[in-house]
Amino acid sequence: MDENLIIAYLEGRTTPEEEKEILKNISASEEDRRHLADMKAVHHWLSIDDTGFSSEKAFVKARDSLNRAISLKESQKHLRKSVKIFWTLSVAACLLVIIAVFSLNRKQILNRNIASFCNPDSVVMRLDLPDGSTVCLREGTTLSYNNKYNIKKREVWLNGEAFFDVTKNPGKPFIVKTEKALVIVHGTVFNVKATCHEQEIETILASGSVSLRNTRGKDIVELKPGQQAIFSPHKDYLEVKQIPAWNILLDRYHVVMISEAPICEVIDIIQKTYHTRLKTNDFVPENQLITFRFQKSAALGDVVEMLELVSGHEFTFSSD
Amino acid sequence: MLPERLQPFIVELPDLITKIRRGDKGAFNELFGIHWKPLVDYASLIVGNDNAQDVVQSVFMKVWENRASLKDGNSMRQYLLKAVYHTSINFIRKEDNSIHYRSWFARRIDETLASEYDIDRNDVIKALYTKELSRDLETAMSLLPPKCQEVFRMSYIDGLSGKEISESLGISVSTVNNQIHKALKILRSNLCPYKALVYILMLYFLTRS
Repeated sequence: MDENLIIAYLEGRTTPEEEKEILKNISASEEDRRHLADMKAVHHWLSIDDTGFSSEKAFVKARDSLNRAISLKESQKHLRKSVKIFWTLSVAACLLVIIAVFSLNRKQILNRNIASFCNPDSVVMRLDLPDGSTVCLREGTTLSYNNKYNIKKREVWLNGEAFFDVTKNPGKPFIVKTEKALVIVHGTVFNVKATCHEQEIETILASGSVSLRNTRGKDIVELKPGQQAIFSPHKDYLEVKQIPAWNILLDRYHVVMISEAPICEVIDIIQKTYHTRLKTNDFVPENQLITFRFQKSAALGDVVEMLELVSGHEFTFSSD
Repeated sequence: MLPERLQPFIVELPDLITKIRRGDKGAFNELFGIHWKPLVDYASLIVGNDNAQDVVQSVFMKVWENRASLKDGNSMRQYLLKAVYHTSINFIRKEDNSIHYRSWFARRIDETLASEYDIDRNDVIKALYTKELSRDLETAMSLLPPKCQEVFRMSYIDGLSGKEISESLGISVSTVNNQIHKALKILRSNLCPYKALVYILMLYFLTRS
């Protein structure tokens, strides 16, 4: 088949007579059919622009519409009016939060393939990020990241309060961006509370090291474990306190998961939370790392049993 | 060195599917975010821009409804592309579909070509929709050998006709046609698909008279 004819067809310049000719060729020859199909596929792909039917805007609309449709279908199954109202309200709340975050963070909109999570209810929502980091969202919180995550750095946008357990990767800094400040992380466990209409940002560090930086790039403070920073950019106010970080986080989230933490730190947390002393006859290497899940309501005996299972060492406990 | 964005873009964690199976809507939305655009672009190839979104919505709705039987291991992208393919084919087979055609023959051509876009049988489609390729011309051009870049700029930027360029390059029009075939072959074989795409684009401008 003549290449010029193909291109004329792809550009919409062919007469019906010419199209009849093309149809004859592709019906008779498999090779011609495959060739025209491939040329059309490439031409089509090259002509797609980012402002049309598959744009960022269209994506957000489509995602919200799908979630609404799913919610609607599910609530119809239950046939209870009160359940239906609840879903509509929480989807509406979710939409409002997402819209609020998008309108505040315009830069975000220009990136493609945003993953955005919103927790509309009071049960903590746990997410795993593509690099293995874990985030727990409290009520009304939104967290987003885009398709550049884990390429040169790991950036997430936060509106609300979330607990982070970040995998160590010195080559790719983990950055929590909020409306008024940035938290730069060096592999660690911490909590950030930064809600758009509120004036203060609270950061609690449980383990590792984080730096707080303002939106103009100026370093505010570098935190050590057990420290809480309250920063108000509006009043240019900074307060750093020593606090029982793990206890406070356990209170807010009811369960805390620590991955790859040094075992002595975990032992320390248990001792402080339960006012107990743990003893062992085993040799416990200082640099042994364990992954541990900590529930506030658990009995000390269960927690120690879990520790033994995970670490491979035997412990006894006694009250302080 | 190829730019980073040419790597296949799989952000899914191994347990994303497991979470969706258990009814985790956050995980489902994550899946939606990762695959939505390429699926809509692929659907529009078969059913047109106006209907592509509807096709993809119905595919994802089905994924959610049948989440209990989702299988992990294989690439989610290919599975979804296949689903879009089937839904799109059903769409165009309906006599009363809303796609506009220039002529009756144009309609028949599109219908005949549609079955060629089955991802299992078409490596060009695979290359286009399972990899994260950039449409940025500057990046594309920088991958070409210097002489080719020169030709490309002449054609695209200076607006020289194919005839003028092929004369200055000393190649015939039939050579150009052969080069297009070659470039498509490279695209099919998945060896540096990006270079093949750029080449096709270049030749495309070259053959304009």
